[in-house]
Amino acid sequence: MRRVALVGNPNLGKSTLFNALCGLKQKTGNYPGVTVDKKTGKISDISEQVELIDLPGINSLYPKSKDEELVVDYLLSSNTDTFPDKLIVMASAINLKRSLFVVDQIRDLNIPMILVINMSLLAERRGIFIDASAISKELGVPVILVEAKTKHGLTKLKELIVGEIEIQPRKVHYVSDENNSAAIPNKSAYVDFLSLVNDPENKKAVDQRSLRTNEAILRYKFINQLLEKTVKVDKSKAVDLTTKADKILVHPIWGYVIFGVIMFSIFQSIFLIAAYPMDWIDQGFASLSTWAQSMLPEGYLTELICQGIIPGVGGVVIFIPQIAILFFLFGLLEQSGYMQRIVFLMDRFMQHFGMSGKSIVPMISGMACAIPAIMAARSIENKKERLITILITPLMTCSARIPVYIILIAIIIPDGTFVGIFHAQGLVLMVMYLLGVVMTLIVAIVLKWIMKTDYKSLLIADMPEYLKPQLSTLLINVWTNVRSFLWNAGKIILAASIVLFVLATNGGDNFKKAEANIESHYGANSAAEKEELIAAYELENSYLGMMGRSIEPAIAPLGYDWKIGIAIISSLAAREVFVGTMSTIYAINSTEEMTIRDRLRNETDGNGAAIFTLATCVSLLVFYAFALQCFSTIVITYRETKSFKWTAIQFFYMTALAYFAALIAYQLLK
Amino acid sequence: MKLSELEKGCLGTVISLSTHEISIRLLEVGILPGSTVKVISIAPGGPLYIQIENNLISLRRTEAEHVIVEKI
Repeated sequence: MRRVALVGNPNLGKSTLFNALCGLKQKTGNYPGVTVDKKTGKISDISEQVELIDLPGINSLYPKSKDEELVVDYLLSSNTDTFPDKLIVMASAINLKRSLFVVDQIRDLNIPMILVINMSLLAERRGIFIDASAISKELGVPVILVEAKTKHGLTKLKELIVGEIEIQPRKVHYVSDENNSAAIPNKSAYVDFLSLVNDPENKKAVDQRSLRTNEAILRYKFINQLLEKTVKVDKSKAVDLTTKADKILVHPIWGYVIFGVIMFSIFQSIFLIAAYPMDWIDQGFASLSTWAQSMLPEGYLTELICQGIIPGVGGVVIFIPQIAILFFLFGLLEQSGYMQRIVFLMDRFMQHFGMSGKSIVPMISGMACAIPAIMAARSIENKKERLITILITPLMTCSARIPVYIILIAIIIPDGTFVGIFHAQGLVLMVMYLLGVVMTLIVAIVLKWIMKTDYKSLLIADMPEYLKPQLSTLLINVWTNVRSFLWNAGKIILAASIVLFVLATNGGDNFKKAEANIESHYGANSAAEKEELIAAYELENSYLGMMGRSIEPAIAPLGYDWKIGIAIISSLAAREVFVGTMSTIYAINSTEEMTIRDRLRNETDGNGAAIFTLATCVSLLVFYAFALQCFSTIVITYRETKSFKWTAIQFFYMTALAYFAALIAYQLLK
Repeated sequence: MKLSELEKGCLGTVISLSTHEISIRLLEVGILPGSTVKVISIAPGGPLYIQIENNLISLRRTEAEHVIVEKI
């Protein structure tokens, strides 16, 4: 199979081109269990099988961040199996000079490449006319003009992808060398040059800094000459619209007001819009369970399906509406170019906490999922800022916490309560998000004081033009994320609900003697009452009940009983399992059709007092806000920091924070 | 004068860059001697938002100090 890699500056529309080429045939490493560096896909409607790899955007072949290091290492690893047959190197017609810099560098690596100049139609409308064949002659590579958004030019691009491309070394113009400037160098001349100027080992031998500065100036000189010959420009109005919009959007006062309003609306809409489909799903699974119970023959397997698997899986499916809305809205922020304005607005503020404006992107994506968020921290050049960002990002309220929060909030606050015009449950959810943000910043400031600085902090960032987001790209993004949420979280939850059911329906001696013990204790009761007592007694003495009761002394001060203890144990690897576990455990006790919420609300202890009181619910909310119950986050932190120490520190500080904060909350409120 | 001293809304021509390591980064994003620069906005106490030719870029004051400009 052919392998083609997509590379170029950030914000050129690489993802748009990737989606236009691959459609739904793609994988992203965004969710529990999957850990890939690169987005890969299969190109659709093409005569051969071609794998396309989307690499993170780079500004040059001098890596300054983890992201860029990854790409540069990949481009220089010509002797490995994963090395691409061809590169698609992207440039922007709107901003050709700047984007050609890294193109010109990559050209000298002599890897077969196609130069794709995106946004060519938009450029023409703005009076920029590009002669592709002239550029092709100057650079010695095929050049093609496309408009990825409308798929203009993609048929020709696909022909080039499956065709053969020869690439010849060209004259060196990146070092000033008067003696032999006419000679054609060998194929790896530029690779050697890069190791000379990038490798710290050569620091003493040559003046790396001036070689690199010199290269930049010489390459721009070459590019300027190239553009004079190949591009005609009518007076450009390219950035008018963007700069006009930015008069308000990055205004010293209004900019922040708008940012606040946008974030607030996102959280309100998550609740308001998602409420309806969630109710349908909740009811649907409850009836499905009853229906299955009546249709299937009586027996252990039927019970496993109706009381174990169906409620467990339902506990995951119900959160799809919210997760989909969240990813849709964040995709909108990212694609429109607004996210980069937040970087600009927040840079000063973030510096107080030992981070840079760029940390905002991981923090905001952390509200969807910590996994891609921690990976997004790669774009931060400064090592200390990057480490702090990685360590604190899991404190942001990720979508896996939503299930837990929503159930608990629904127990405390009745449905349909409004504070003024605002949805009361939505407001409490917003408070939980704020709690996450505040704790994130507090921990960051502590880390800032503890850790020593040895790198200079930088912020040189693009402010991409505002673009109208494309619905299909947004929806593909939502779909790939929801699919991997369902698949990866679903697998764990399905397995957990089976294991839980088996552990809950088997037990030691006391479990087997349940009927006899109840009879001797309580004597003659009504048949129904007796049955309920036996069921409760069985659960308490099952293997699962024994596990829960063994940790009860540790969690009793937080206001939790042994059933909640079971839920906490089972959600150690993935916090969203909590709801599934709760519904499985409580379903085992009763055969009535009831939604998860009502079941928890009705739950009482031996004396008839409600288990889920305000104090217990708040304590649980706080616990789930701070605890690192996500195995995938632990794995990804280790992979990104390459440090056992920091991975352990992250786990332990979050666990300790969760325990003591929940303890304080419960003791104050009870 | 330095780019960091240019006021909001003002235009300038880039004269030169300092010899500091940061200058390579500035060159990469297209801040080249001879190009015209405009300060679009300045965040409170924070970074500058500039337009250089057709490029929109944000950078901190401490980085803008490495760019010498002539006010137009």
